[in-house]
Order: sequence, then structure tokens, then C-alpha cells
Amino acid sequence: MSETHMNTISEFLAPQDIWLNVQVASIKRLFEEVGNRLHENHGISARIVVENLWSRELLGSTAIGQGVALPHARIQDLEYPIAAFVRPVTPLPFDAPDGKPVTDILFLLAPMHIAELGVEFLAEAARCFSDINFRNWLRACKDPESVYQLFSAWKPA
Amino acid sequence: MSLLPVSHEQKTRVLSEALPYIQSFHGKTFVIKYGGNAMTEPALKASFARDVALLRLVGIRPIIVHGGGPQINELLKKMDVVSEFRNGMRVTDEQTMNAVEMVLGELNQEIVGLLNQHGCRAVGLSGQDGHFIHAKKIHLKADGDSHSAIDLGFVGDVDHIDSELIHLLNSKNFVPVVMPIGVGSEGEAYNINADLVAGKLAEALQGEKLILMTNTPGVLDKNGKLITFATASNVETWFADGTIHGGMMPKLESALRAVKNGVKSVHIIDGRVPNGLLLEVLTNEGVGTTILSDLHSHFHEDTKRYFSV
Repeated sequence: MSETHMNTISEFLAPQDIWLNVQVASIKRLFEEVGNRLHENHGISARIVVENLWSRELLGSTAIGQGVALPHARIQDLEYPIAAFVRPVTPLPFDAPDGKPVTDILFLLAPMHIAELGVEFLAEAARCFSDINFRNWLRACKDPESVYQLFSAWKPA
Repeated sequence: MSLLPVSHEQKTRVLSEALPYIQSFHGKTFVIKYGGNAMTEPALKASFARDVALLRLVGIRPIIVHGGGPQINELLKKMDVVSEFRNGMRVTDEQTMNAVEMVLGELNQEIVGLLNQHGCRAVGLSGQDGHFIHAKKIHLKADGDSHSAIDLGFVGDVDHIDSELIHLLNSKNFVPVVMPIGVGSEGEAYNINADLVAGKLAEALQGEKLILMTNTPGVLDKNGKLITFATASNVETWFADGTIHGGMMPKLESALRAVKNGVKSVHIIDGRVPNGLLLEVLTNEGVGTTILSDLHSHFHEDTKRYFSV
């Protein structure tokens, strides 16, 4: 973990990959939208992003309840880990364990060779999102920069 | 808990955001155990009734189970009946049972009336109706020096539930309001803990949610902080390490059994929050503690497996 970051999330997340008020009505459209935007920002293949996100999602829903989902994928030939955050305009059905649709979605794309990183990132994300204060502050953020600041400032307790 | 004024913007946002939740829960069965302040304070009673009416209107199937402990205590006091308690349960002789049935019957009708006033078609039921709650007597093992079992009288446990009557009422969009009285094998009536009845009913119906209304913010950890989310395994740990005690125990026992037997999630919510029921169901944040079955909390295992291949 780099010294300047409090947690792995802010290490791989950038304001350009934080998108609030995205208009999508399904997970399929969500993944496609994210694939396209990541292609724009990082040059990676949108199709490969979508395919890999889906194959993980089919293993079991990445929604963890309380309106949060953590979709992730390992991508061949990906040079560096990329995180992205989406807040959809309308809550998305995501087969969550509490039955509730999802309002806060944190993505992780990981290179093939660093497995522990993915597990660590997601464990941290789950912990971070399990804090009701964090969730409230996050939902109060009105722009990507404040979302980024919030993630950057979060310290595992 | 402070109440912040809600702006018009917030109100419309909440309303428009409610649609995906309504879609998620349409047709699903929620068993709601009603008690505490929500059952005694006029403003909370009204907001509860409106919440139930709204849930029913949007296609959710609410079933209400109510308690009546404080009211039973009050009547017995007026009757100069002194109750003996063993393991937190009231020894219930015939006279006491009559008082219990009277109080619960009255409360039941009051709740039915309240719900009807707010637009529901509520139907009051006792477990005796249609013989739907089969009860069995609780036998406490002897404590201390005594070698004989303690007779609690007419205190029962749920043996099994025949849900046909409830299905019938649900199918015609009625809201069943159930008082926690069951029938034994000889036709005798038993008083059963309402949290227990609610849990068993949720299991029998394979309900989507069991919601237990309490007078606390939810389940609190050892530092008094609210635990918003937990799995069945977490709850088992709490029993082992003393995080739960007192009044929370029967609720969590009921919750644990429910999620292990097919109920998708259990919510222990703060009944003192106006519209707490709606907030819990129709927004992403709740007003208490959500407990999920271990079956539905496989995210971490799936993730480990995914990254280890």
C-alpha cells in the first residue's frame, strides 16, 4: 500500500471514474455503461470489462445489502488496478441479500496476477460501507470530488 | 433520537426512490411483530397504521402479530393478582389466562379498528381461529434444589402453524392481525410469547421479512453502538460472548431461527421512530438491525474463490 493512501480504495479510485446520477435500468446496462466509460478513461476494452464483470456476477450477486454492491473482475493484460464508483439515478435491482435495490456501486478491476489485492480491497470496501455514517456522508456527496475525498479520508477503525 | 424537518425535495426524492423497493417487494409476505411505544403512543399508532396500509396497497402482504405484556400487567394489578415469574415467564393459572385473553382480545380489536381507520381491511385472529396455531405446554426444568418440573400453567410454545387461514386472507388482500394465543391438543388455550409467534409464522409462510418492533434503536454492541447489519453466524457469536441479554434474547432467538428456516431477512427496528416501518422497507437505510441468513451472505466466500482460481 502506498504511503500517501489511507486505504486501498482511494489508491485505485480517481475522480474521473466516479459517476453520480447515471441513468441505467438494469445491471446489464450498468456494466455496459461502466465498460464504455472505462474504455474512454483508460483505453481498456469495454467488451472485456463487461464480460468479466458478468462472469463474476453470475457466480453470485455482489450486492451486500443496505443498497451497496461491489462488482469486480480480474482482467487479462490489465496493467494496474482500476476502481470506479457509480450512483445510479434509480436504485437498481441486484439480487441483494436483503432484497433491496442498490444505490451505491463500487467497482474493482484487478490485474490477473495480484489476487490478494482484490480480496483486500473488497474486504476494506465491505468494512467501509458497513459504517452507517460513511454511507450517509457518501449519499450526501453531490460531486465526484467530494466522493473521492470521502473515500480518501476513510480509515479502517 | 432527533427528528429533522424534511424538505419538499427530500420528500419527493424519497417517494420517487420508493418505486424500485416496491417492485422488489411486491407480492412478498412480511410478518411484523407490533409492540412497545408504537402500540401505545397515539402519533406512533397512527403512523404505524398508515405504514401498514401503504405496504398493503403497494402489493406487499403484511401480517401483524402483537404482544400485550404491559397491558396484561396493568389489568392483573387492578385485579390484585400477583404473578410469579420463572425464567422471565409469568406462571399463568386459569384466572390469569382469562385476564390475558381479555386484554389480548381487546388490544386485537383496537389494532384492527386502527388499521381499518387508515384504509386497511384488517381481520383480527387468535391462534384458536381455524385452529391455526397449535401450541404445546412449556415445561421448565427444575431449578436449584427442587427435582420436579416447574408448572408455568397456560404458557405455551408453538408446536406448528396451519397457515391455510392466513393464505386465504392474504389472497383476498386482508391484513391479518394475530394475537399470540395457541391451542393445545385438548383444546386448551395457551399464551405464547409474541416474538416467538411472529418468528414461527414467518417460517411457516416462508416470508420475505420478519420485522420486530422494539423500544430500542436495534441491537447494540458492547459499547452501546447500533449494529446495523449482521449474519446468522454473527448472532450466534453474540449469544456466546454476552453481547445480547435481557429483552433482546427472545427476539434474537426468534430471528436466528427464522433466518435458518427460510426467512430471507429479519429486521429489529426502533418502533419509536415515526414511519419506521416504511423507512426500513422502502429506503436503503433502515432504522435498526438487519439480520441475514448465512445462505444469503456468501459474498466473501464467492470473492475468495474467484480470486484464488
